[in-house]
Amino acid sequence: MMLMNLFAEIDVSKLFGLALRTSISVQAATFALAAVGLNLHYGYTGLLNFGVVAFMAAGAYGMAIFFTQGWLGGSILLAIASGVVFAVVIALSIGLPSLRLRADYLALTTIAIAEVLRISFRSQRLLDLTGGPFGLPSIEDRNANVSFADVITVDWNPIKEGNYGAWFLEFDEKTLWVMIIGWSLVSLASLLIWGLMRSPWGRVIKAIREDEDAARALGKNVFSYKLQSLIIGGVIASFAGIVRAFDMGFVETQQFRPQTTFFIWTVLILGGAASIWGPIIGSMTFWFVIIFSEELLRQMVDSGWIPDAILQSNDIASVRMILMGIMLATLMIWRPQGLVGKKEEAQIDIR
Amino acid sequence: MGKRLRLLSGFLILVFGLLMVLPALASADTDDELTIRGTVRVGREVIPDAKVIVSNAQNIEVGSVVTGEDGKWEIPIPGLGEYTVVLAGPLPEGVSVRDGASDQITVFVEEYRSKAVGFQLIGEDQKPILEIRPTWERLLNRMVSGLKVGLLVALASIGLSLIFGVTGLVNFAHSEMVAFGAVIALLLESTVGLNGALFPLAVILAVLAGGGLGFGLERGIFGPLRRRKMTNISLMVVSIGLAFLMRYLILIYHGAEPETFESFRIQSGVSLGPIELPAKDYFIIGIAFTTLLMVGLLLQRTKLGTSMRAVSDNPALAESSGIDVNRTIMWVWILGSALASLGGTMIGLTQVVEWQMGEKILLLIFAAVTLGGLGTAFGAMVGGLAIGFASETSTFWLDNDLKFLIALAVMIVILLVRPRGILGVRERLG
Repeated sequence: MMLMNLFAEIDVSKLFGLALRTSISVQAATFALAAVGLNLHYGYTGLLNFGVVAFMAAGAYGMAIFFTQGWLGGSILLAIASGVVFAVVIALSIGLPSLRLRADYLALTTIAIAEVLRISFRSQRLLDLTGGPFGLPSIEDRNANVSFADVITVDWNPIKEGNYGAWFLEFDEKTLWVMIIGWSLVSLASLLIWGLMRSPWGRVIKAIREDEDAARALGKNVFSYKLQSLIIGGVIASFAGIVRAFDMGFVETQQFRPQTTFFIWTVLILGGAASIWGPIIGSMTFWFVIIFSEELLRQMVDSGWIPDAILQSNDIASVRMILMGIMLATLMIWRPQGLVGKKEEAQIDIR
Repeated sequence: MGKRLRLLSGFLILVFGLLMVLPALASADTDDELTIRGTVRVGREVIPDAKVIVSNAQNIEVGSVVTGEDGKWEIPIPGLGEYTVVLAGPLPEGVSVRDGASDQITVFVEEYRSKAVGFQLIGEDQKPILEIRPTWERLLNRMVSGLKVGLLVALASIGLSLIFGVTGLVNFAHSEMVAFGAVIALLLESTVGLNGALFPLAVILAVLAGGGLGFGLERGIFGPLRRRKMTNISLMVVSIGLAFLMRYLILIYHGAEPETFESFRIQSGVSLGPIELPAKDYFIIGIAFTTLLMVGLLLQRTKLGTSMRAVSDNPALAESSGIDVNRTIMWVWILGSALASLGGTMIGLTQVVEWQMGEKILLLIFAAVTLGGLGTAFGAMVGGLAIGFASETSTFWLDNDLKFLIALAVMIVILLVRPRGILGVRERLG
């Protein structure tokens, strides 16, 4: 009887609509893209990269700084390229010194380097370049509605103005265009990884994950392969940062806190590490579950089903983080291979 | 025995849950980078070492900071709203607030951007402004407060290092145990009423609760998982999930507002020669130092300490020489998280208690234990002291927001040059 009441209070259409909308949104695409990059690092090569967000930040900030400074005529394509180059530089500066470290030390180094990058971007001393705590574009530009994203999202947008789709899946031309860009990049990156993993290069990479010493004994330069993997995955993740910057229209250091890294870890482990579809399915499922539960809780709180003493509606945003934590921990314990991964490939035992 | 222990741990987890539900629920806003900032200056001259305090509309202090060498200050605020900024000084001789202006400014923060606040100050006409204290005295004071921060980081770090030593787990949830201690102590002070003379009782109970939390985590989560032969890397990921769980439970049930211990709000400085610190800071330094000494004695002189070090060195050998490894690991968890709680309470006393305490100190703790050598308690002490001291003292020369960079830079360099740390043993090298 009480359960019936509950169902009467819940707006089921909105519940599924919002969850579905987010699971195909640009946000889901960028998380999938970053997870594809992390998948190469962790799933295939066995590198414990806890600094994924550093590559995203490098891509986004590299692009935004280059464009807003108007270097070399301020072309957006050159700006994107410079974001990617910045990510390669980060990969080299993480990889060259630290790839010889043991797995957990590499984890600490990468998380530290990501924070160093974020704190530096935020510093007042780089105010003219990075916008410090305000980010880019500058406040004046933002008030005037000018952004580095305009060239891509407005000028180059082939879709006619208007709203497309129906129900909760209705998008304006700008959102739709960035979604297409995002998911195309996800497909391209996944195809690339698929091809790479079928090549001799991919077999060496997987051999390194399985037994580094054996790979070395076979005459493979393990260090060089690891570095290549770090660079390729880093470049893929940098595109995630760039697409996200286009989507939001600005970059800020807040977007690159360590928790973003762990979101992407959850996405990858949920979908299944060391599988081509893992990052995509992981990201879509992740966002569906998160938004679904958030919306459900919100409706239950608003309708008085959950008393204020337990949860208030403005606390619901933090439930997202709690869910992420629980998902990460429980998946690791009971289903380390995720939804579509193979169990024998997902046993992480890197020493 | 086993049944009773399991019951006890279940009870402790229950207590943890109940304690989190108790406090009045405050609004939560996860935006953290919001700050009020400014530069204290007279004309072109900047004024270092002046204290600025920000309070919210309810007149509760949100944060305070001392201006840097460049006169700049920045204080994070929990959310949008009305705040009062007070320039508490001291100002150099001859400098005063301009007629008609005030040393208190009320600001409305209406958007998610840092808010700049300037005080209207005036100096004696055309006279150069003299510094109130010689540079070396100010440096000395900064160093003493660096020592304090170092001792507290050391307290908070020992547990992480010991737990790594005996189990091989890099516990990302450790910093949340630090926050847990502070939040519990605050709760006992404000809600239960253990303030004033009863405050030490609040600290003791918070430390006990911390020990209980460590017991619960080992008994309920990490112990069973270790026996399932989960790898340390997987357990590390589990601990990350746990950290988020704990951090955001604290946010929901403690609230986003940073709070201070009522009994110790704003204290005037007590001079000891050239050193001037709030009275509580002398006590904090004393307590932290004594505790570290006691832990050192425990590890060196007692049977339990010896077995902890033995398990850390070589678990198999320790087991075969008759040491109960699981029992030792349990005690390491209890001791480590009790110390983390104590560290958290003390950090809360010197700064503020807030849900992000853990996140903020996590990398300092990591830096401390890698510097000292993962797995060694004495390494964590040395590393904590060095990292806390270096990052705090660096604010004498560098911007306040760059002090974490010092710690992280030290950590990265150590990992690259000498991954086993200062006191680590060679086997730990990868």
